[in-house]
Amino acid sequence: MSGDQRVFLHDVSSPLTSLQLNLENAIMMLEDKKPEEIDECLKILNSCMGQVRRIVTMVRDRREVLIKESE
Amino acid sequence: MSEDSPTILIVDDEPDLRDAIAFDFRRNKFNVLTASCGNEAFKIVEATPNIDVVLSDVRMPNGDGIELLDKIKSRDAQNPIVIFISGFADIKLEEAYDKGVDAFFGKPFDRKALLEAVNYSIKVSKQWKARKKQRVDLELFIDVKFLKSNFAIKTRVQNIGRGGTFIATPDRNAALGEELEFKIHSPSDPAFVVSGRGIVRWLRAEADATGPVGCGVEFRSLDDGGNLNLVEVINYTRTKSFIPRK
Repeated sequence: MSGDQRVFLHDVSSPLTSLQLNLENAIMMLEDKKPEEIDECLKILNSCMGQVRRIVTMVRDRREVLIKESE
Repeated sequence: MSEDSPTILIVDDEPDLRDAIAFDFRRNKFNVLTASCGNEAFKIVEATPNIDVVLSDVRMPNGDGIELLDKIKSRDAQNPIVIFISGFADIKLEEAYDKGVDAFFGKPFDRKALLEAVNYSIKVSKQWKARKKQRVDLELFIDVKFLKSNFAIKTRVQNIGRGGTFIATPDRNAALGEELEFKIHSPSDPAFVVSGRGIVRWLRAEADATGPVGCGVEFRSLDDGGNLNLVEVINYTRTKSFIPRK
């Protein structure tokens, strides 16, 4: 495995873990159906969108590098 | 903070991940502290005597997880417990366990498995704190039966860590994650027996400068009475290592 691949896997692992944990946390809160937790749940889901955007950017950047390398 | 609840310090330079893990542990009735780097975390450890577990990323600016582990284990080999959550290939497993880490999780990890590992480590740590008696040095041997491959070996124990040992397997190696039964005994003290079940945490496929072919084994459950014998040996050797490299 190349150094670039290692760096990519390392960099993507944190936002991916955050996304996974936040979605699981949000699901648990929704299952509890406590009205006072709705604001917190929304905050978590917005945070999830931020993590998705970070991962998407990383994947797009990595794909561009790989396409250039193969040309 | 509740005085009865365990206390965990979460160390990661990613605020979103730190918050998500903290949220999870708070829901599971932990007192939660957080830090964004190793240097900040060690200051908190020094100022807070009742921390049970430090859950730390490995690669961070301003003091990485390995430096933090070294500082914590040099201060007190057994407390607090240190568990690594790591991105890709930050440190070799055998090096991390030898330096004293109690468990190791790659990101992304399973939240239930992490919570179980934290609770298990706290339970074992409490048993150890209750037993401080020292004993004379013993020559130890281990009989091992690997349960998947049905491969058995008897060998001398070179070093024993707080949570496991290295088993030299010159003829045939085990599989990563393979479970096993073991019995540690001493010819000089027939009353000394530590038996139980373990799991292979890392493999060394070829002999190198650190040691021969073999595997790092974590003790996962001990039969009645064995834990007290083991704790006496560990307290005598005062090792920082969780699973020694040889």
